[in-house]
Parts: sequence; C-alpha cells; structure tokens
Amino acid sequence: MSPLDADELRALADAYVAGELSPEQRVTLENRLRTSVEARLSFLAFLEVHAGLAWEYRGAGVELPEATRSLFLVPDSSLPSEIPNEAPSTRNQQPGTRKFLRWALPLAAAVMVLFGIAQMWLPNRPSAVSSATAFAVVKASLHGQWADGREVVVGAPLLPGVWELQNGLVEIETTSGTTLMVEAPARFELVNALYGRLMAGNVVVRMPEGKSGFVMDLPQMRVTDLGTEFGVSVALNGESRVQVFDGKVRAESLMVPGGRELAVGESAVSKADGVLSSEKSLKDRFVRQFPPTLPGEHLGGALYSRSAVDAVRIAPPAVPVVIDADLSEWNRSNAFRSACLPPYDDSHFVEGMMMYDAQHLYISAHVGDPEPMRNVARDIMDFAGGSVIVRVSTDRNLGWPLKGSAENATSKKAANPPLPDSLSDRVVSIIMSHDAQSNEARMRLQYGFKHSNAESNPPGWRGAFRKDADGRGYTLEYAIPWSLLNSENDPPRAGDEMAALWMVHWSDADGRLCRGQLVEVTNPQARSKPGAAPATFFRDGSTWGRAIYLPGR
Amino acid sequence: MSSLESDERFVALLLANHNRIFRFLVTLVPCRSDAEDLLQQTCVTLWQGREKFDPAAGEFASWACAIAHNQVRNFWRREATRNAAHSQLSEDVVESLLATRSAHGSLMEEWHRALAYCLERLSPHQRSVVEECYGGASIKAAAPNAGRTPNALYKVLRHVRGLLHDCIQKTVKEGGLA
Repeated sequence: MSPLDADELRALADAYVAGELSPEQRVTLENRLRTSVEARLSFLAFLEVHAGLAWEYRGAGVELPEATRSLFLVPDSSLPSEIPNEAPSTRNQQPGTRKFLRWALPLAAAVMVLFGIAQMWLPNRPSAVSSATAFAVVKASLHGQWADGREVVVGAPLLPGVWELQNGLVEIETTSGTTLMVEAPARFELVNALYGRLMAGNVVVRMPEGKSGFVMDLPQMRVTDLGTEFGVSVALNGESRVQVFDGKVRAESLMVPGGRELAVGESAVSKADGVLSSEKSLKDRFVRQFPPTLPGEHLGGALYSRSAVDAVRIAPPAVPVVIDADLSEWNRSNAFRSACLPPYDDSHFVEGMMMYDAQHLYISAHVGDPEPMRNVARDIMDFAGGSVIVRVSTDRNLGWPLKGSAENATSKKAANPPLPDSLSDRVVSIIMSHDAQSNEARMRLQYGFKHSNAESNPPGWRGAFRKDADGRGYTLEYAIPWSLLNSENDPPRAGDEMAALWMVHWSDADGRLCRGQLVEVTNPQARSKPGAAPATFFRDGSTWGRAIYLPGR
Repeated sequence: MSSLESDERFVALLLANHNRIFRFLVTLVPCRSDAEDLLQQTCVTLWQGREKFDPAAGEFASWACAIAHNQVRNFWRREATRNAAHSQLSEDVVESLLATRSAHGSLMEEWHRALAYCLERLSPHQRSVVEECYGGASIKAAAPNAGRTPNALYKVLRHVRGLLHDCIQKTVKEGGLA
C-alpha cells in the first residue's frame, strides 16, 4: 500500500468511526476493502485502536438479568467494590475512567478463584520489549514461525516474555539446561530459566540428568519437575494436562487444594472443575523429538509423511454408492494407505479411495486422528482445522505429468506465459472438512493454480462424516458431480491417466490450527529430487501423482 | 457438573471474553453508546442461551461473537428503518472483514496487547486527549474540558489514533510483544 493509499484509508476509517462517512466515501472504502487483504488488515488495525480505546476508557457497566444475581447468595456489601478487569493496562489508571462491570459484582465471589487464575495470563507480564537478559536460546527449529510471520532463527536468544509459535516445532534451551520442545500452535511465557507458563498448545520439558526443579504453570495446574521429561498441554478452554515420559513430576491444581506425584507413564488432566484426575497416556499426544530426515529431505513439520504412493486407481462402483460414511460398498482393493512418520504412524494416517461413474467422482477416506472432527476454522483457513484435500485434473488433454504451477499461473514474463495447465478450470482442489459447529460436512472448491472462483458448498454435492467408535479417527465419503469439476460434458473414462494429489491436515485440539500434514500420491521423480519439499507440491502440478481411471468389472 | 458449577463456569467464560465481545461489537458498530447497548443485549442473550454453549464444539469467544453479530444485524435492520444507517458497510464487506478478522485472530489479540504498550509511549498531552475523548460521552462534550473547539480536539484525536495505529502494527511486526 502506498503512503497515499494508507493516508486515504486512514481518513476513511476516521470518518467511519465518527459515523460521518459520506455515500461517496463509503463506496471508496468498500471498494478498497473488497479488493485488498492489506487494506482490510489496516482497516481492522485502525478499528482495533478505536475499540481498544473504547474498552480502556469505558465508564458504563452492563446489567445482566436479575437471575444471575440470585445465583450466588452473596450480599453485595461483602464484595470488593472493584475487582480487576480482565485486561488491565500497565499504565496508571485515572480514577473513574474504568468502572467495573456492575453485573459482575454479585458473581465476583463465585468467580474470584477463576479470575485470579486468569490474571496469571494477562498481558502486562514482562515481555520481549523489556531490557532483561536473555536466558534461553533457540537450539533447533523445523519450519518454526512466530505468530507475526517471522521465521524462528536457530541460535537466537529469547528474552523473558510471551511468545506465540504459529507453525513448526522449536527446541529451546534455557541457561538451566532445560530443554523445551514447543509444538505449534502454542503460546507460552518464558519467565526465567526455571519457570515458564503455557497458555495454549503443547510443550515437552526435559531436564538434564541429575537436575530438577523446572516449574511450568498451566491455567489450571502447576507442574514441578522432579528430574524428568514430561509433556504439558493446554486447550483453548483452559483444560490442562501433564503426561510423564521419564522420572517424576508433582502436579498441583491451581483451583482446588491438593496435588500429587506422577511417575513414568502417568497422565493427569484438570478440567473445568479444577480437580486433577488420571487419564490414559497417549504416545502421540506430544512431539518429543524431531523426525529423522534423509539427506536433503525437507519435511513440513514433526507430524509429517514421506510420500510413497505414485498413483491412485479409480474404478467404477460395483453397487450404488450411499453417501453415509459407511464404506461397505467400496472395493478396498484400490485403496492406498499412507501415514505420518514414526512414532505417529499408528495414529496419523489415511486410507484413501476414489471411484467414478458418468455422473460423479466419489472420494472416501478413513483418517487416523486423535482429535477428530473438531474443525472450527473458517473460510480459506478451513483446511487447517482438520481436512482432506484432493486435487485433480479432469482434462485428459493436459495429460500427466501436469505442467501447470502457481508460479506460472501468475507469471507476467513474456518468456514464461501462463500455460493452459496453470489456468484450467478443470484442475480443481476439493477441500473436504467437517464443521464442528454445525456438525455438517462441508466442501470448498478452488479452480486452477490461481485458486480462482472458489466456491463453498456449491449445490449438488453430498458428503458425510462418521467418527470412529474409539474416537481416534473418522471416515468421510463424498459424491461430487462432474459438473462442479467442469467436466460434465467430458468426464474421465477408463484408460485416462491424469494428475492428482492428496493432502490430509491434522489440527490442534481446538480444531483451529494445523498441527501436521500428509502429502500423498506424488510423482516419484519430483519427490526424489534433492531439496524437494512436498508441503509445497500443491503449487506445482508436475509433482502430482497419477489418477488412473479403470474400466468397470 | 452441577447447574451452579456450570453457571459459575459460564460466568467465568463471559468475564474472560467480555473485552473481546465488546471490541468485536465496536468493530461493527463504531458508535460507543450503540456498542454498549448491544453488549448488554448480547450478554443477556448469552446468559439466556448458556445451555446451548457446547465447549466441545468450539471456543466461547467465537460462539459469543456469533451471537453478538446477530444482535448487530438486528440493530442494523432497526437503523435501516430509521434511515439512519448511512455509515453502515455493506453486508458482503462486513463478512469479508469478519473473515479476515477470524483468519488473523491472533494478530488482533497482539494488536490489542500492543495498544497498552503504545499508549504508554504517548506524551502526557496526547494521552490526556485520548482520555478526554474516550472517557466522556462525546468529543463535543469533552472539548470544553480540553480547552479546545470540538473540531480542534477531533483533529488531535485523529492524529493520536494514527500514531497508535502505526505503533501497534510496528510493535507487532517487530515482535516487540510477541
């Protein structure tokens, strides 16, 4: 955005906030917001300033229904006249500029304990802007990326403060010799060399032999190391977990009195009531080490696959297909199986199948997923909350391997003009996921390598999800009419070999952010190239494997 | 979990997310008094529908903001009948903004955190202008206290908001609070 554009946008935002947007200004503003993510983000930043200031200085409280007051039989006079707000500023408060919520007072006693705990996570903690000395350093990183998009730099010192890891796996070592293996997405605070706080995500703590004493606070639990290796995790609702891999820890609830020692193989969870309870340990709950890599291999993360399947064989169904996520009518002889690298191969895998007839492309998958069907991600990030993506070319004239790519699709160089393969609307990405909020299957289509003309839940498709009985995976089954793939007049037929690529995404426990990925059905020549990065294969059609359409029996 | 415990938990969630819900509302309805009214209605609706909240289906803030969004839609409909919604953005633009906001949820929180840091870096005079304008009912009402005309005060406020806008983006971009 040019400085001129930025100034204009700011002026429009000012007018919007003041409620003084003229009709002409409104058209200008809307056009900018419709066409530019950068403009939307800048506008949202401006609104965040306005909203944040309004919050900071709001003087009025809000009334809840009388019913809430009778919940807790606490006389108002017995309560403090003011209790801390959720997000106090570090600056000095002006008297009277921020009165507390009136409706909250009768409830204050009941929630004081919870509130006190919440204070632990407030943002006026020592942060990276302080001048404190770094006591931790990044020892290793696999695709590590901070929340603001910066790459995690190996060797970089980390100052005390809150850190948010958006992507990848990062190993941090403190001056006490403690190793923290942080798996994205995670938000944590480094307080000192022997003390940290985890607000969200997964961290494995490992102390050097003969040492102990590292303390990790979670929203509902304090875990003290007694010479050990342990994993801690925090879900969005504050649910806190610890699992011991070696040695012992002491776990104490921060909400109710009591604590206990946990030994190797033991795991405890503190849910909404704050009580510590035992639960089964799961070996795949935490990533404890970086995956082994081959020379020159670029893995997308710790939860990642090594592709070995060249082609998916697609046959017509022998009996009519019922879309109910029960795959009993599918011929499994054409299924392929792919899994993440050990030790996650038992828990994170896909068994994929495809079929076709004159009207539909059918896709089914059984996905091993310890956090199945939790996807609450939206819009273009819907894949990150857990998804299966199948990318197909249905234009036999494009052949195999496909020559198109995202880079070529947007090329403005005369010597490298966009190829038909790059722009074809018969090259389609089918993004299938289960919406946890509506409890319904959903599908989004993107066309060509520009991913243009995206459509969410267009009419005509059918899809179903079913959770595994043991809650450790799910099955999906879709029927997609060829018309949605722009091939209703010339659908694939027996003997065709065209490009296809499968991708599976696993989410965090909250179903929002991508925790791991599998890429399968790939071109063996592409994946064996030195430096090949399968995580980027979706951008390059030449790396896709083959979809082989078989005759009916 | 007993009903009382469940209600306690719900209130705790409401308190913890009150700030987010308010900021969400102000994003859609910049007029603070309207946003306050909508916050009150949203809290009542959330409380009345608390049994419908399923923690397993998603985070509280998302659920609460969806309900707040419905309140805003109703508000806009009422405003439209009064022909008073000339500053209101089109539905598709609002949806686009919300999608961007949702996709960058962490960034919004970082900006909010950075705002406290950036406020501290304002001069005492600049901070007092912010306090006058946002602590009172309106700029017009605040102007006499500040010894300025409303127009002059508004210009200073615009300048200070611009400084804060730049500061929060720069702070987060440089990882200052990350």
